[in-house]
Amino acid sequence: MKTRAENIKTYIQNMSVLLVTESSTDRTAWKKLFIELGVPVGNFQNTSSFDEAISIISNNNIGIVVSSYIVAQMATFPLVQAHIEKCPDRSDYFFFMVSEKNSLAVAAESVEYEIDGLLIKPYNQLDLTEAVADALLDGSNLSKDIRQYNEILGEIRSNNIEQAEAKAEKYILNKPQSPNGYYLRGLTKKTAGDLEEALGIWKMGLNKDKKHHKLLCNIFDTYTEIGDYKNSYKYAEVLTTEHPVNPMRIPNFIRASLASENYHNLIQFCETITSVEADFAAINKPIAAALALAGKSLLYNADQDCRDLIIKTSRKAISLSEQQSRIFVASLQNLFNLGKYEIVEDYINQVPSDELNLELVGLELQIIKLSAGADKAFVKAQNLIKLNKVSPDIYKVLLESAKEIGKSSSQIQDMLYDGVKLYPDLKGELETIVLS
Amino acid sequence: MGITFRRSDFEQVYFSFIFVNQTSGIECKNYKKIKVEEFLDDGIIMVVPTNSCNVRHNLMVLVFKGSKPRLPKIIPAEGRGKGIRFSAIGKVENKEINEKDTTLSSIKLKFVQFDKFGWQDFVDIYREKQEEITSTFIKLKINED
Repeated sequence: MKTRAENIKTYIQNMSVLLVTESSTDRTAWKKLFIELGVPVGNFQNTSSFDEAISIISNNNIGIVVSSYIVAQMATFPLVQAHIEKCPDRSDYFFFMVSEKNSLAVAAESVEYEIDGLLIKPYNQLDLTEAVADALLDGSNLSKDIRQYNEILGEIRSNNIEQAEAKAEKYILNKPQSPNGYYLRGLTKKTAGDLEEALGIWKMGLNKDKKHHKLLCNIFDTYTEIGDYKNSYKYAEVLTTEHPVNPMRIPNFIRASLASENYHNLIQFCETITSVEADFAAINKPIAAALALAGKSLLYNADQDCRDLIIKTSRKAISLSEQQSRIFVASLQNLFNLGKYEIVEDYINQVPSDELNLELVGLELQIIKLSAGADKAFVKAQNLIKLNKVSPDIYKVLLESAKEIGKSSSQIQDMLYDGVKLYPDLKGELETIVLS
Repeated sequence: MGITFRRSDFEQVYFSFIFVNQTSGIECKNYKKIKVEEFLDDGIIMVVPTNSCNVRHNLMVLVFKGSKPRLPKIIPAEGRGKGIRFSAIGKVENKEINEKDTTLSSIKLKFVQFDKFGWQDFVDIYREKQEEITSTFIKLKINED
C-alpha cells in the first residue's frame, strides 16, 4: 500500500508549478517544498512580474500556482481568475496564496476566489509543507461527486449553459439532499440572465442547508444587483452571522442596512473597524468606502449622538484611502459637516496646494469663508475663477460671499449668470443663494 | 438579528521585530524595515536594512506584539521587559543583498542563546492561526458527504 508521501508524489509528479513572488526567500522555500513533495526540478517557472505571470498561465498548462498575496503592490486575485479561465474545471488544478495578512476576512475573500489554500507568512517549512500536502492529498482523493460538481462549474464558466443545466438537473436527481446541485442550477439561470428563477432555485437549495455559504452569497449579491436591498438585508443577516465577512461585500452590506434603515449596523461596523489595529492592504478600499458611506449616513440619520464615532470613522477612512480619492473627499466632507474645520484643514494642508483637486479647493474655500470671513473667501473665489479653476462649490461660495460683503445687485447677477451658464442643473440652487 | 460585524473577522496575528547588533553596537529599531520571512527551528530568516549587519555579527532580536508597538527608549540588555514577547541572541549565518532593492538584505540568523520552549510557543501562535484559516477554508468550501 502506498504511503501518504507516495500518493502525493504520484499525483503531482507531472504537474508544472508557477511561483509568483518578489521574495527570493519565498521562491527558494516554495521550490524546496514542492521538490520534496515530488515535483521534478525541471517543472518550475517563476516570476516576480504580474503581467508575466498572466502570460505564463495563459500559455501553459500550469497545474499548481503559488503566489504572494501582494506582487508589485497589487493583490494577485486576477492571477486566480486567469488560472480559472485557463482551467475552468478545477479538479486537479491548484492555486495557493501566501499572505502576511492573516485575518478571517482575507480567508473569506480568498475562498470566494476559489483559492485552494491561504498560507500565512511567516511560516516554518514543516507547517507550510503540511498545509500544502493536505490540500494536494484532498485534491488527489476528490470524490466522484465533487469531480462532477467541478465539471459542471467548468461548463458554466465556459458558457456551455445548456449542457451545464442538464448536468446540474441530473446532479440534483442523484443527490436530492445536497444543496450543491441547486447552487449549480441556479448559477446556470443567473448566467443566462434569469435572475428571478436563479433566486428561486437557490432558495430551494437553502432548504437543504440554510447556512450554505455559496447560496447565501449569491442570493445576497443578486438581490443587491437588482436593487432589492430589503431582501438582500435578510440574507446578509444569516450570511454574516454564520460566516466570516468577505470585505468586498461590506459596501453592499452598508447599502442594505441603509435601505432597511438599520442604522445600528452602521454603528457596529464603524466601532468594529475603528477598534482594529490593522493595515487591511488589498481590502483597504472597500472598507474605506463603507466607512465613508456609513459616516455620512450616521451624520443625518442616527437617532443617537454619534459625533465622536463619525470623527473616528472619517479619520479611519481617510487613513485607508488614497489622498484626494472620492472616499478621502467624502470623509473630509463628513468632518466639515460636523464643524471640524481645523481637522479638515490639516488634511487638506497635507496635499501640495498646486495638486489640490477642485472638490478640495471648494472645501478649503468654504473653510476660509467660515474662519477668515466672506471678504477673503470672495477674493480667493474670484482668483480661482480667473484661473479657470471652477466648480459648483466655488460658485456657491462666490455668490454667498458677494452677498455678505454687499456687492451690488448687478455684479451679483453677472456672477449668477456665469455660474448658471457653466452649471445649468444648479440654476435653482444658485438663484436661491442670491434671492435668500 | 441584524448584520454582524465581528472584530475577530478582521483581527490579525502580527508582531514587530527589532534588533540590536551586539557586534557593531547599531540598534535597528525601525520595525517597518524588518520583515520576517521564515521561522526555523533555531532561528529566523528576515529582511533587514543592508547596512545594519554582516555575516558573523551577533544580533539580539526582540519581538513586540502589534504593527505599531510602543518601543522602550533604551533597549534592555537582557532582552526582557514590558511589551517584549520574545527575545533571542543569534549569529548571522548568511546574508544576501536584495537584487531589486540593494538597501535591503535577506539574512539567516541562527539563535545561539534562546528559550527553546518560548520560541516554540511563539511559532505556535502562527501555526494556530494557520489552522484557524485552514478550517475556515474547509467550512466555506463545497463539500459532499
